Amino acid sequence: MQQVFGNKKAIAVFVLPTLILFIVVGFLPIVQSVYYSLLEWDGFGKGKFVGFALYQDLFVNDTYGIKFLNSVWNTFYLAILSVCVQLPFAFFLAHVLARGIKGEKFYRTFFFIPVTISSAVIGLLFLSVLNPNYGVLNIVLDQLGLGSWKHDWLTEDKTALSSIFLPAVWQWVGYYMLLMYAAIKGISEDLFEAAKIDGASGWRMTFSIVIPLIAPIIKVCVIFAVIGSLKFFDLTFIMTNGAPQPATDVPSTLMYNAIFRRNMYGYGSVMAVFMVLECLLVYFALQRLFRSREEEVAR
Amino acid sequence: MKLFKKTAMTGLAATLLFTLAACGSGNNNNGNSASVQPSATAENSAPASPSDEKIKITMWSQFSDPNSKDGGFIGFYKALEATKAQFPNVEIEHTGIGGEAYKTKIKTASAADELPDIFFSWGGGFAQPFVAGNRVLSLQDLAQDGTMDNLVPGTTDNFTFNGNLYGLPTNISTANLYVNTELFASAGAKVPTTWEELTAAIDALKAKGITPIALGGKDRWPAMFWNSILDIRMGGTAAVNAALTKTGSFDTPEFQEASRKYKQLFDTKAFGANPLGTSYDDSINMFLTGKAAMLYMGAWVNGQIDAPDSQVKGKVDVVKFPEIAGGKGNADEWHGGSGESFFINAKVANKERVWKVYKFFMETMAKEVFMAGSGSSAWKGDLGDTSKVDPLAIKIGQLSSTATGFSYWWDQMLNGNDTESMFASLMQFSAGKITPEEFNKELQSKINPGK
Repeated sequence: MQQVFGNKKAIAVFVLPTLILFIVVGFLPIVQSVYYSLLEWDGFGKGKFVGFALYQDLFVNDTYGIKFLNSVWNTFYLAILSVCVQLPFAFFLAHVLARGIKGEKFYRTFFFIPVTISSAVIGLLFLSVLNPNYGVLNIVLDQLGLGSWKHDWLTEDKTALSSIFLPAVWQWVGYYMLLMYAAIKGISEDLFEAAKIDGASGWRMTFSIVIPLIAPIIKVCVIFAVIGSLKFFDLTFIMTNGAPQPATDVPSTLMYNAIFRRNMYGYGSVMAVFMVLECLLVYFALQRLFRSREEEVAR
Repeated sequence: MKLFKKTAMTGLAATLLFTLAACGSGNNNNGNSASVQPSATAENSAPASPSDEKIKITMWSQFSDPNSKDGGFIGFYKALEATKAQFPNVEIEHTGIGGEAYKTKIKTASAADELPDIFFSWGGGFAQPFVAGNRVLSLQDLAQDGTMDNLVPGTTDNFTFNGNLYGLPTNISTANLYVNTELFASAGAKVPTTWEELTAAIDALKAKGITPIALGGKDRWPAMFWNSILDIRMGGTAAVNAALTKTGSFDTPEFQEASRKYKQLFDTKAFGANPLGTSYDDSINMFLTGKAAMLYMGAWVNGQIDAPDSQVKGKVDVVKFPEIAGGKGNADEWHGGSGESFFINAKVANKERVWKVYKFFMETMAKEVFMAGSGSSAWKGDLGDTSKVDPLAIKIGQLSSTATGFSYWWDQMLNGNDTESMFASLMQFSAGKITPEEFNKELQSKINPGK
């Protein structure tokens, strides 16, 4: 066995299937999308090569009133919500559970349940919760005498976006909680004991021991949360599909609509290419950010 | 090293096998379609008694479930069986694919030029790319055999492109005003025949705490129905169709007045408190449970209204949409029409025989679908015993028999891109974000730019 894995050719053979698969289903479609994004093509017959005209139209002229940049901001709003609300909350839960609490296993499972439910189900669930006529939320507000707080949540500009993003944030809290929980569990108990003997408070232990030691996992969580937000699709698609336009549009629903409803394959491909580049850029930016932080800490 | 070679060879063999298999299946597909084509052309080239020779016709439709209770499905399968019995020498091979998947399937088949001999399609903007791509056989000359005289006027409009007919109609589907007579009586309101009577009825119903009109604005197209019919009443079907087919304008005084009336309905809460947060299903439920008094909807709701367990069975009347004084359209102009058809592949063999089979099938389907209670027939002539047909369907048939014009669903008349632009503007307008004047200007600039 040692011999086999030492051999470069053998390694190549073992890597090859995955590499082929990755190229065929991952890399080639991206290249293809770049090509399509240069065509004006309705999906039937032959496309017309127009160079970067569609890019210009999407970002500058906006002939069809799609307001693509607005949708990009929407996803950044979700990313901020994720990093500033979801992750701290997930960390809080993970910390409380990992440091020992009665019913630890129960709560761990409990908070993880939304992650296991399909987004379609969550979407429909919140659709009925937020329904203006018979939704639980409006009924409860009525019962509490807060009738003036009632809204048609998903169709009013001010409330629509948050009404979709809050369920999304809620849904994935359990996922990040579990990642951080496992990391905190992995910290040696000795460290906490030593800190206690030195007279460290609970806060001190959290900030000087827990957070620095699970920093790699926090980094992973932040990257997942941000990239996931930028690609966000399912709940928006199920709950509003962008209505009231353009308040809840996100790039991926616009892309879907451009390709499958408007029959504009080229236009949709431009959005796809933009999303690939956007996610890559943000990923590298985050990597850099964390690296410089690590260097600072090391110094 | 020996082990490595073995592994490498196995891996290589597996990869080869995989690629071969992939190629193989691809070839199979090609082989199939290729083998059908020559045999069909061979038949065509044999001149001796072509009508007796056995031919095969492939057919695709969206009617995927033979056991469906939907009137359209029932009518389709009855017509299919009748056609098979009528033409014993013709073998019809039918493939049904339901829902959105069907649209994708025929679009991809069209791109690859692998459409079947006969295929179901929607008219208007949906059919445009098929016709433009020369995928569909023109029926203009074939239909001069007297077929045109058997059709209700205006029913072929959605299948006619540049003066050429590409499909025969089956049924006329209209949007109708359904009225809950019990709620109207309790509010002391009169079933409306004019705009003034409609607004008076709305006020009377509101005073009684009844939602006047059920509207599922969340699904967008029910709101489009109201916008269309008001445009039809103010401008007439000819003007609406002209705007939709890019030969007229949306930005006219009539349509602006229609939009002001549309806004008036929203402003006076005629559609209840949250029409834009209400889905189509919710709105139908509101009407079926007697919470809303009116519904402007296509004839496909007949079945639900007259279902055995329906709470409003027997209490619902159906009427023409009220006239608007000063409008150019009259009460005999309808929103709806004939928008579903079957097309014949442009490359079909045995054109004449396929035409005969096709014509018989379309006429039979028109009658069977009417019998099943889903839309009036677009074909003239005796329908036979109609005693078992849904009474609402019969009433609609009577009302629309004097129709002088049709304007079909906007989201079918327009192409996909224009449909999305139209919906986006309509929803902004419905939410009160743009004025009636801005709405019409926007429609014109997005759908008919530069005109």
